[in-house]
Amino acid sequence: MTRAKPIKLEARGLSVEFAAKRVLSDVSLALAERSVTALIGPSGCGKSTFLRALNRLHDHSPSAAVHGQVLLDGEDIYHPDVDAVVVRRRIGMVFQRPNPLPGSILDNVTFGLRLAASRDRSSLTDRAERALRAAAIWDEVRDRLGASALSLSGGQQQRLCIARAIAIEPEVLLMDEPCSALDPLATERIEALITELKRRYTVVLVTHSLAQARRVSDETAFFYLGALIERGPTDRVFEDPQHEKTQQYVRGSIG
Amino acid sequence: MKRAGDRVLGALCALALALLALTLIAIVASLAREGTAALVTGTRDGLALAALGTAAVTFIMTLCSVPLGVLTAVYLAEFARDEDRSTRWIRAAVRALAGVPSIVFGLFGLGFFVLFVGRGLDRVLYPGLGAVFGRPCVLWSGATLAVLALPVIIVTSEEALRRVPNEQREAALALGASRIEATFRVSLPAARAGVLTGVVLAIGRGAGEVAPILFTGAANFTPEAPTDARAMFMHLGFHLYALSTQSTDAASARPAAAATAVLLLAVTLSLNAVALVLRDRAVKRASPEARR
Repeated sequence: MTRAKPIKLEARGLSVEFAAKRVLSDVSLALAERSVTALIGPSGCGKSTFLRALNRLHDHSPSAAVHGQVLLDGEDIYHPDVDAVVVRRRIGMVFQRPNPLPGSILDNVTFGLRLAASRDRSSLTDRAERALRAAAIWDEVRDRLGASALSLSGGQQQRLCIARAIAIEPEVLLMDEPCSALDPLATERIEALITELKRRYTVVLVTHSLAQARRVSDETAFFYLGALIERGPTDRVFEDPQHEKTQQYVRGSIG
Repeated sequence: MKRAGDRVLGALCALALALLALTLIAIVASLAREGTAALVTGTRDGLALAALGTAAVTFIMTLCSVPLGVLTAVYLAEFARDEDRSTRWIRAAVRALAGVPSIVFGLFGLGFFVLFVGRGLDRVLYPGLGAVFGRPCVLWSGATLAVLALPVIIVTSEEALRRVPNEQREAALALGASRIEATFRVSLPAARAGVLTGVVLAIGRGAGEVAPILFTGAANFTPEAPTDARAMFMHLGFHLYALSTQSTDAASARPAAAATAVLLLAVTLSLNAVALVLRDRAVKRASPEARR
């Protein structure tokens, strides 16, 4: 298979176990730079587990064990010399439910920047503004940056979370069903945003909505029972699925 | 249609509540009647010294117990692995500590702080000088009360930290925070009201306890307030005990004793009221409709 864009992130033989129960087995998947890859599959198929393995979020679940490699620009993020904190600065994440931190809108956007010991206030606000603009929420919050992040609507909160993630300028953006808690209008805005974001970032999108995967992704990977069944260009996967399970899923007979 | 059994049970519950409320009112009213007059007109030297001593020992207790208790709670809630045997032991020990009668803490304080730590310090710092640290004083009383306050602080703080949703920690981690940063910048601030509630409750409990200070530093009478951590001190609770039992003329000491009791009650009740307000704020913060 030929690809125009270079590979940014690649899982090799990635398996995840929770308390010795295997929930993801031997997944190898390469993600092209500046593209959107949708991970689809029925609940419990391992797609979120896979996503969380890509930024080492399983490190903090004592019962989880990750095997295999995840190569970011060719280097294994699970190598013992690699600091998970550095990995997560390069691979940002947006969660299923908007999870703004207690504090103001500005506090939220600058959280990652302040961790990186950036103390310069004016550059902080500049970068916050840039991130909020990029997340298409600036016009709605510019007059109340000091207000609590919890005063925003769900859709606004999720865009704030996206702004927060891109404020530290990661290279990859992982999104775990970012629209599942949002109404159709807010979903539409986030989807437009994802299309915009892929100009700069490599986006991995877990989604339950097949329509969403079709609308926004370049590549689609179908997971079933902890295994990667099929992957390919989104149109091809939906129109001409090679695997029987994929066929059943995209036509709505399983899931 | 209510059944007769329900109505009887309801009436019994109301009766129990009424009895409890009446008892409380009776205690407060009788103390207030006797005590407030003495508070205004009586000789207040002893009372003032006892109040100052209570403040001093409570301050030392707070200083010793809050950092240790909160850090232990942070360890238990954020870092300890629940399946480890050591974690289970620590947790069991903390809960057992909460159930120990306070007089046992007093004896422990005498044995450990005064005799072991105090005398040990004296041997190292002041050889041949006699007891400087190795005798009952406000420092060791504060330390003993701190041990008593620890389990309250640990249990409530740990619960407050556990109520912080995991999504918050993950949000911080995903933004490149280390575990420590996620704990101190996100979890602990989010649990602040709950932690404070535990701290205030513990202080309220410690301020009113007499048994732990009996052998570790409380005095019947001192001519002045403690200005040195190694001095003995007067305490409202102990003062009340001394006035009621040690006085040669018990009847004439009654108003003073009542005044002391009023003051002691005022201190502990107001600390509990503060705890209630803080808990209320914690609950409001935790609910999703909390805005602004």
